[in-house]
Parts: sequence; structure tokens; C-alpha cells
Amino acid sequence: MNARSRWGRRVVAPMAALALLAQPLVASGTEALLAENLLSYNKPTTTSSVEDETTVGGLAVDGDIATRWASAEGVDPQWIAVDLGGPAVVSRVKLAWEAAYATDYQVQVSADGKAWQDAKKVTGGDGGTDEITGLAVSARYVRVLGTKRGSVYGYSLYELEVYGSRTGGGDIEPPTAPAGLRSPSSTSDSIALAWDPARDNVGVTGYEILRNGNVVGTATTPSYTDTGLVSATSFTYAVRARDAAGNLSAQSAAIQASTQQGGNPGGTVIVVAGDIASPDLPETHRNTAKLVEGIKPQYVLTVGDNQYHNGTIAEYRAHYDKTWGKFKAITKPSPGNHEWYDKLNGYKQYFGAAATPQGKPYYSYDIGDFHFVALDTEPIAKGTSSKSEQLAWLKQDLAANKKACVIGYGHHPRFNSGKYGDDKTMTEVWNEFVKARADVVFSGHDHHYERLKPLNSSGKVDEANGVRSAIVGIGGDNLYTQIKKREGVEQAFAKHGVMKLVLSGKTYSWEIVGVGGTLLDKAGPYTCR
Amino acid sequence: MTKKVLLALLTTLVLAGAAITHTVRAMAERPDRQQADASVLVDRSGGVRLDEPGRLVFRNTAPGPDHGKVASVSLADPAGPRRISGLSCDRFYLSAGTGLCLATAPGPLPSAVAVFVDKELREVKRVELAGIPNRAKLSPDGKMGAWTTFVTGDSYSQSGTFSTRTGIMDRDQDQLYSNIEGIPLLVAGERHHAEDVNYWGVTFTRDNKRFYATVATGGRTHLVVADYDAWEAKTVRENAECPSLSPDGTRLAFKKRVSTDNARPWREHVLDLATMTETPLAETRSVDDQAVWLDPRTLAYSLPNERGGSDVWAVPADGSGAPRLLVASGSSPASD
Repeated sequence: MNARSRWGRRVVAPMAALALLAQPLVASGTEALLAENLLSYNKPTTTSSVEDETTVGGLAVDGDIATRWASAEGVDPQWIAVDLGGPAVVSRVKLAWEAAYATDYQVQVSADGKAWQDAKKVTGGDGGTDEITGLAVSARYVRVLGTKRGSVYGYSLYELEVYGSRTGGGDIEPPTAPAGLRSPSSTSDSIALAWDPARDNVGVTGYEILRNGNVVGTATTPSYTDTGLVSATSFTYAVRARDAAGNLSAQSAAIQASTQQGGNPGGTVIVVAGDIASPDLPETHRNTAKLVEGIKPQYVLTVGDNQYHNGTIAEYRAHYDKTWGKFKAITKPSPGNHEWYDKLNGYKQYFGAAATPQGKPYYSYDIGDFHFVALDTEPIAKGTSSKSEQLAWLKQDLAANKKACVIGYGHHPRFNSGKYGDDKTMTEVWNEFVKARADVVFSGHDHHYERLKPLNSSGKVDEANGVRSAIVGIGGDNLYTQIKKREGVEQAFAKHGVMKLVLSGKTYSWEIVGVGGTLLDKAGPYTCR
Repeated sequence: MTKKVLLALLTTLVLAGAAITHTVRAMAERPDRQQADASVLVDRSGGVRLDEPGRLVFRNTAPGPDHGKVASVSLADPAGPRRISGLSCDRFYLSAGTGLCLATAPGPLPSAVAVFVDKELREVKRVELAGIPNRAKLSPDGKMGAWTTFVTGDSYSQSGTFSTRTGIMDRDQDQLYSNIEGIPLLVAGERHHAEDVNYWGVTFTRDNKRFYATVATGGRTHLVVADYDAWEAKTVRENAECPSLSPDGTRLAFKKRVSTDNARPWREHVLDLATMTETPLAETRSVDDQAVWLDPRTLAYSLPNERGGSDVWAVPADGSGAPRLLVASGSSPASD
């Protein structure tokens, strides 16, 4: 439970490791100075085991940080190997671990995929991203052999990237990096891209398009239209070329391009998410924070469990602050049960006046025609003595509201198809929103996304008298995948991302944008009741 | 909520271990694919009905194609021929002519289904669940269903841990609480804030207003009593698991951990709720079950047999007498 900073760490291979290698594996100085290219992308993999068919080895080399390889659970050792396609000099290996990381592992190389030699031995790893630089080893195959697990589960890598240069075995010369990348046009959900053709000694066979560092598509001609995007959001694009032998060029210079405004031009843009910064999963909240940067919201609303495990000030500073902290000045937070493990001390200290703008960790405010109510649901869920005070405040606040539209948010959902199911402790809160004819309630706590039709006090679909709701516990912590859809679920999935909520006059709509910028769900526009 | 620090309790490990061992063995040997046990007499003349007086309903565990099917025998002659239905369950319970069948369901992760059936074993309500089936029980009027499954994968932080998932379905109100662990809890009168709470083995009072269950937290197990409407639970005492309320609501059968020997840790007891005195029953073998009351004086439960299956036994509820074999090759006994 210690706060640990675990990313941006680079593991440099000591020369001693290289000296251990028999065979003439050490490359000559000139070869080591050759341009460094990504050699492992979409190359054949072999693994000691997989957890299931959704976590196969190829997903660790597919350039998609939303997918991963996972080994069988609870058994050591486990490994994943990639065939670079021919002899190469490997200079760098980058590992993006999932929460199931290795504390001890070896990066091994082989000429034949059978006899392995250590290129680097790591002990005491703490997950996140490991970048092993300074290698200069000849290999056709590279393997990561996990010998000690950091969790009770197995070994899991979002990405395994091997960099270096090919040294033989047919065409080893990669194409030139594409130049002149530009975005000629865009719509509210697509961006067109074009670039100057790359050159190759044999011939360019295609291009790969990267959005925010993630491979999102391929093209055979020097143009591409990226679709299914969230509106009015900027993305970083780059492209690279490949040839028939699978050699990848360096990436083009990156450009920024944006989608157009959606159906609510000039609306107020708000990001909503919860269950965000886990010390065990530094990558995911960094990725969701990148989405927020692209969305450029006027406000950020958090629905609790912003910082794990105990929401202490040390944890907030070491994790949340490094990613979502950029938006602190525009954040209107609410706390979750994890903030309460520190009795809200870390939460209050970190957010300052924004944590208790009206003296309590629950408060309300207006934006345009909308009245927002931020709740502190943990004392209500636990039935502590302050529960009645907050409920009385909520009743009074909703009664005093003059705005046409009402949005409530807080940590615990009343209706939920996830791990925790419907929560009876939230009955009174929900019923107050029903009575006040509130429009929508956002919550977190369960780690999935769920969009529910208007539900009445009994949890039944009631378009006339019910309140719409959504669970947005997808800000970065481990996802909960065993969703058992209750009545009224319009959409549900377990993917990391954020909600982009747009208010316009007396209407609202939202999009759920996944890591990498993909549009995962679209709701509304809805007119206030 | 996440990073649930799970109970590392041997209790649950033993239960979960048993469930998983059972599953693994079932897959390896598939008792339903074995030849039928010729010594088990089957009455093919009639089906299983839940409203027929004088019958003991149970889960057939005799090897053969009817393994796992809900069956019944005459209470007057429980060793006599059994009638066998087409309904397969891992755990079954019966109350007021309603049945609750907890069965394994297909899925990439361990999944289960809780199926409410009518007196003719026809499905009337189905609830999809996560986990491996463990316990199932209905309130005396059959309106409240409760079940427990074992789930894995809730924690990255502790090794060798399992977690329970207990749900309650209120059939009258059509409300499902698929995970009751969020219920506010008082431990020895103090508000409990830990995240490592796990519940199992629910039993409802006759008026459906209260239920008893086991909760594990902080390395201890407690008997709790909960107010269903107010949605609040409080601990009653320690070391009393899988409670089962007597028909008159005055006594609670439970399993008590009496030994550190994990091969046989339990002794079935009855707790007098007025005096809170406990009486060990004449059954000295380790009963790992949520026992059922056949009548105000008799408890029934299942015990593993030497053939790799289980048998149904009965014992007087007052500590007297001796256990007697009711049904060979059976589990999940229940009668109205």
C-alpha cells in the first residue's frame, strides 16, 4: 500500500550481462549505431500459456495498448517470445505490464528460438513500463521469461516492443519515414489524413496509422480516414511505412488534428469519470488523462475513488497529481470509499477548497440551466451518523433549486449490473432525485460503464417518472468484466475511458471515449424534464 | 471500490477448495457419463413434484446419466426407490412448493444461474450470477431466495484467497440484491468500515423481515442478524457458520469450527436464540453444509461418502440420539 512512483524508470543493461553471453552475440559498433526501428510489431509470437482466447500472445505485439497477453494464473515460470523474422541487433526492449506484472524476469535472446541466453535479468520489478536500453545483442527471437509474479495471478503485458535493426535474412532495409503528414478535413467523428509516399529499396506495401501512439488502422495508399471518434477533440497522429519483408520505417513527424463540434455547438464540455489513479496501474490513468487533455473540457467531475488505495495526500501527490492533476483547477470532485480510508484527509488536503466548497464534502452549483449536486456517498452507504444530515441537505438543496435541469453525481450507484449489484443503501438518495425530477445521476464504484434508462424508485423502467443514470467507474483502476445486465441497461462494457458530457441550453448528451480516443458509446441528446 | 483485501480464512479456503476439487474431479470423471449405479433403485412411475406431502427432495449424486438431477424419495421410506426429475442443479432448496436451483452456467469465467421453479419444477425466474455454486436457501414462504457462490479474481494483492458472493432475491417486490456485502454492518456494536467483508449462508425468518448469515472480516467469522427493510446487519456471536433457522424460529443450526485439522474442522450445533446456549449434535463427523430442518426435532445434511459422492444423513436437533443414513448418493436435502 505504499505510494510508489513506478514509471519513467529505465533499466539499463549492465555490461556484465553482455559479458555473460557466449557466442558472438555482441554486435560491432557500427551496427549498433544503425537506425533503431520497431522490430516486433505484429510478428509471430509463442507463449508458455494464455489465460484465455482473449489474451493471446499476438495482442502484446499489436500496437494496441487496450489489448494484452496474459499467461495462465498462479504458475511459474511463464514466457512470451517473438520472432523478429530474421537476424537482428536488438538495442532496446520496452515492456508495458498490466497489473499482473513480473517482479523477477529475464529478457532472453536466441538465434533459433530454442537455445536462450539472458540479455538482461531484472529483479524487484514493480510493474508499469520497463524500458531496457543499452542492449546490443544479436538475435532473431526475443523472449520475456517471468520467474516471479507480482500478483497471485499470472503474467500480463499490454505491449512488448523490441527495437533494433535487422542484420540479414533477405530484405532488411526499412522504408523511409513518411513525410508531409497532414489532415485535409474532419467531421464531428472522423479525421482524414494524407502524407507523402515513403520510399523503399524494394517497395512500400502499406502504412500503419497511429493515434495517440496506438495503431488504429492500415492503408495501402498514402491517405486514411480515422472514424468513430469523439467530437471536438484533438488527437496526435503519426504514420509509418512497411515493406513486403515486414520492415517498419521510423514514424513520421507527429501532427495534431481535431474532430469538429458535435450536435451541441457552443455547449459546455464536461468530463466525468471515477475510480481513477491506482498505484498498481500507472498506465491506465495516464492514458485516460490524455483523453481529457484532448477533450479540453471546461470542467472535470470525479465520481470518487479518485486515488487508491487509501487516498492519502502522499498517494494523491505521487499518482493522481501526475496525470489528472493537470485539470485540478477545473475539477469538481466527489470522494469515494477509498478516500474515506484516510477519513478524507488526503482528499481535502489535495483538492483544497474544491473538496468542501460549502464546508462539507457534498455541495451543489449551477452551470447554465443545470444544477449539479455532488454527493459524499460513503457515509450514506455505511450508515454512519452523518448520513441523515447529508440527506436533509440534499432534500433542501433540491427543493431550493430553480434550474430546469438537475444532474447528481457521487460514488455509489443505486442501480448497477456490475460486481456490487443494486445498492439498497442508496435508496433514499435515489428517491430524492426521483422526487425532484432530476435528469441524470452519474456514479462510479463499480469498474465498468453502464447506461441505464430512466428508472423509478423500484428500479423499474419509467420514462415518465424515472431518473436516467450511468456508471463511469472506468477512469483507470482494474476493470470488472462479469456484467450481468439488470432491467433497463441500454449499454454496458468494461473498458477504460472517460465520459465527455456536453450541456447545451436545456439539453445534454454524452460520449464515452476509450483509451486511444475511440468512441465507445453515444447517448442523447436528452431534453431536461 | 477495488483491491478488496479478501478473507484469507481457512474456512472459505476449505469450502472453495472443496468446490473446485469437486468441479475438477467432476470434469475428470464426469459422474453423469459413468454407468448407472445399479444398487440405486429408481421409481420411473412418477415425476418429482414439490407440493407432494411426505416426500424428501434432494439432489441425486448417484453416478450415471441422472447425476445432479433433482430427485425425491418417500420420507417414510427414504431408502426406497427415488423419483428423478430432468432438472440439474449443483444445489437445491425447497420451501412452500417453490424450488431454488443453483447451477453452474457456461462462460469464460466461473458463472452460475439461480433458477426459481414452481411445484412442477418449471422455471419461473432466472438470475445470472458470477462464481461457483455453493449455498441456496428460500424463506419459509418461498418468497425470498438467497444463494452464495465462490468467486476468484477480486484481488491482485493477496495470494491463495477466495471470496464469497451472496445474493438475495425478493420475489414479492421483484428486487435483486446480487451482492449483499455493502450492507452496513455493526461488529460488536461498532460501525465496521473494512472492505474485506464476505457473507455466506443466508437464512430468513418466517416474516421475511430479518435474516441470519455468516460474515467473515479481519480473519474472524461472525454470525450476523440483519434487518431486511432497514438494511443493516449486526454481529451476534463468533464462530457460527451456515446458519439455518428452525421452523418455529427459536433455534439456529450452524456449523462451528472445533478443530484446526482442516480435514475435519466442523461440528454441527444448535443455538437457542432465547438463551444463546449452544448444543453440539450427536453427529461427530465434520459437516460442511447448511443443514435443513426436516421437522422441529430433526436436521438433515450431506456428508461425503467413500464412493466420491455424498449421502444424506439426519440427526436429532437436541443433541441426543445418533445420526442415521437417510438417502445414499444424495445431497441438498429439503422438504416442506
